Amino acid sequence: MLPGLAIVAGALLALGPVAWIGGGGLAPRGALGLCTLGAVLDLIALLGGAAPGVVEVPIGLPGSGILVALDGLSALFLLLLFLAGAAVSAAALDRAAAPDPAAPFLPVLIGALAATLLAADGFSVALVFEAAALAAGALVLGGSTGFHAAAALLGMGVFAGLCLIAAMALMAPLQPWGLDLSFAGMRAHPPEGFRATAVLVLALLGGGGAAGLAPLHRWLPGAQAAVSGPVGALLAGSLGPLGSYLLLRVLFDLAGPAQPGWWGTVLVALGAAGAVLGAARAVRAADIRSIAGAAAVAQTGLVALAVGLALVARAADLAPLAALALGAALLLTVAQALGGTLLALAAGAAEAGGGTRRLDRLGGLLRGMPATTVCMLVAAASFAVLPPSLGFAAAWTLLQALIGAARAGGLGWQVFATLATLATAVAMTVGAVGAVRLVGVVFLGRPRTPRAAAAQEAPIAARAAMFGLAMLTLAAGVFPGMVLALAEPALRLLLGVGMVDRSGVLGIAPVPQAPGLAAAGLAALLVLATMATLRALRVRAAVGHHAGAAWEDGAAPPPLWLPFGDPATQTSPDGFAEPLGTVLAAALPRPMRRLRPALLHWRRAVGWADAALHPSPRTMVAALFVAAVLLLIAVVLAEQA
Amino acid sequence: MTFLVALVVQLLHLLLMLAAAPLAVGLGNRVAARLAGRPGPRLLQPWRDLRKLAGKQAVFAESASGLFEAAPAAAFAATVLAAALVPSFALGMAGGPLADLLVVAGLLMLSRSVLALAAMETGTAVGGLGASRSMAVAAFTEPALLLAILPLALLVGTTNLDVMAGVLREGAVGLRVPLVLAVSSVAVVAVARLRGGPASAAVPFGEAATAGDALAEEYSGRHLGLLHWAAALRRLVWLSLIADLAVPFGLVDATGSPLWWPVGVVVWALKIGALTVALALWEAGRAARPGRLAEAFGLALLLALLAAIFLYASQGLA
Repeated sequence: MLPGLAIVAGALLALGPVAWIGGGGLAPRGALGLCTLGAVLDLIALLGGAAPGVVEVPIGLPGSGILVALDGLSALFLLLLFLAGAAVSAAALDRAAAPDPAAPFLPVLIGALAATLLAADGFSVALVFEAAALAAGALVLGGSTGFHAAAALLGMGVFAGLCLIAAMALMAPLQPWGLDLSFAGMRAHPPEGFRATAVLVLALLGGGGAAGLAPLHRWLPGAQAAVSGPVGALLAGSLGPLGSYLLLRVLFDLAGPAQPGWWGTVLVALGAAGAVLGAARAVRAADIRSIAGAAAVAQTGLVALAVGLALVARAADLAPLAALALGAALLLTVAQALGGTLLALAAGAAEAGGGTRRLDRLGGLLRGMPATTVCMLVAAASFAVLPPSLGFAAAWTLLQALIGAARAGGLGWQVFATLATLATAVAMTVGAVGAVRLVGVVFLGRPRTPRAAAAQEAPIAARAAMFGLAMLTLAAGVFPGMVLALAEPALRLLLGVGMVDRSGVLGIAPVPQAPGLAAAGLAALLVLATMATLRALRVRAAVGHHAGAAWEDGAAPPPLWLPFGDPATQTSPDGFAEPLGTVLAAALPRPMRRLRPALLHWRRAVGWADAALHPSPRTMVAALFVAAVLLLIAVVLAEQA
Repeated sequence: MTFLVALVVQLLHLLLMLAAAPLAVGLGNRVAARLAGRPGPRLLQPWRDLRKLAGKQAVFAESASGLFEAAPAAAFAATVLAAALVPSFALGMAGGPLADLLVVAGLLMLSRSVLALAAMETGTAVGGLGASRSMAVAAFTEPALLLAILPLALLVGTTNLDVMAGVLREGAVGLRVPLVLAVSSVAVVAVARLRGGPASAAVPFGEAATAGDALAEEYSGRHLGLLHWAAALRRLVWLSLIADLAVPFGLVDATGSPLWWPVGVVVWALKIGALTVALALWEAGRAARPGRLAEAFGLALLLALLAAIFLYASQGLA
């Protein structure tokens, strides 16, 4: 399967120039076909156990070709990428839309991401990762307001790529003929001491930067807000998993099993911060694209938290717990790749149908866009961790791992893990509020503008793409054990133990032979109970019902010149989030309330830091150049030492 | 055979919950009225109200869609499933392996979210207010609940409610400080969640938007009856949950002799009655004001954190 997948990735990369010459419609159509082919090939490899294999392609640096490999980890992430890529390409098949000059970069981006997952030596990973950053930058540049966002994205991409190549150079053993950058060489040469710490920092900067992990998350909502529809969905649903893959590859696989447990605590802290930040942004965001970006940040945070837990558990020799935490991380990644892409696609469809991305100008899209609404409900339920969605199964597994984490350390770690549990719970619940707000404000209620009242359903191709993703998300939520079965080769590769004794068709259990989450049974009972109640309601329908003006506490119906009612009486997007702020202000102890002026000062300082973090493109290029030179010098010094 | 008996007990339990939920609300209403110096309605009044509503013609807002019609059924179904999973008088029911505490919390959250969406669907001011306040209550109580589950699960070794109640009933854990603190945290969450629901005295007169009534404002007829029933059921789920965790004594085994079942039912009824009276006394003694949610949030969080820290400090991990 490996040569076939490599050819698919290469064909996706080559499709860009071909489509550039051949015309606009070729890119999405070809990408759809290639992604479907890739997904099928990859699924066959994954079901066959994904035995690790390496192929050397005789092009690249003199002396060493490009190494291409497939194992359980890359096969799982490749499957997610191809599924999301196929849905995004299908959604981009809209014939009525204006031709997009950036369209040929879509297959290039998918191909470069696939190549990053397939590459098995440090040089080619960094090379194709930079290609992906370039393609993503070009796609963002194609948006109307994309210049600054594209500069930030490109800057982050170049920076993350440099960090990755530096991390891998630090891990590569020095052979007589030069640095051995192959993964096999790095595995045989695990880093120690300060070099290991440097690898951790560089991997966090590289992988975390690509994924949008907490301190480096600022570029993601910006890039997300600059592009619309399918491309935004690809950024939201595929860059996060790619960053998680890079983190897993470097910290779990290449750095070897003998790394200290505090590596994990760093990831847990960053992940918890990112999850809470992302969820809070999702509740307060004023436009529909930002919500998709904030959801991606929150989900990436939860994945990082789970990966950190797995690192801590592995260092404490608790392999079953590590497998549980890593299983949670992979389930969360699947939820991000399927549900996150679906959320962004549905948000893009709502924006296209309703004519604006501002929440306070949308509303009532359910009437014009029922199919999109149903798909958005599926995605929102997954983000809101409501049973029996995929998000709930992933969150349940993560909470079980957090409960078990108390056995992985002393009192300090236990208190830290408890606080991480609190952060996870807050992120999940606040995310649920954000999801209800998104669906309630945009799709339900009365239209807030005439344009929203005239919303039209997404084109058939986009609807089919969303419907397919929604079906996959639902099926994965009902059968999370089957998703874990697909992740089994990855777990075995990274930890040596899997979840096969604890997961099956019916559900997941935290320890073997114990009751756990019976997702399929729950879903069946829920559907059964809803059907029975609806039937009972219909039996009683003999007494009938009639339609009238909304009761609204007896207020008079709106006058004729307000066809959608009085817009001022409907809850606004800001108003929906307002009780959260009021209660939080009352919940803070009085000394903390006095801290508020100080916090405002702090925010001003953050504002300056923000301005420094969003420099003009020229400053950014210069700063990146200096950083690159410093990094290379540091790597050379480290190798000399 | 054993499974068949367990299934029969499961069905009996569900019927008991469905039948007893309005009765518990009636008891709560009566106690609250007595405390306020009024005779109060009869115990069966909620059942009569449900019967009356079932026979009435429903009126739907013109602006409402099919989602508005289906939402009460979905919310009711999620609540019924939660009620089926929380043990009342017997342990070891057929649904025991499904009865995860996190799942019960998730199902209650699902029912709450569906109702919030339905309230936003009509686009009325009161519905939107009710939805946003309901979600705010969830946002401030759910994290404390999940955090309180952590020490409970560590003490017992599982999040499964059936196993958990069984272990607590045997007294294997004993009366330990973390257990008391964690159960108190769950109780504070329950009080905060039940405020403004049926049989709650703590609703300021004339302000529908604080109560569950705001969510149901546009419903009428049998749909409104279903919502009232679901709210009563939710109340009973919380009370049963606290009874299972705090006083698990008197729970019978589903696979044991059927002669013990009536005893278990009577003991459960006594527990629910006592909890109802305690809740009414608590609410009668405290005026409702907006800051209460913040206080409950802080208190529940503090109790749950203390429970976890006491547990770690005593090195009592299973």
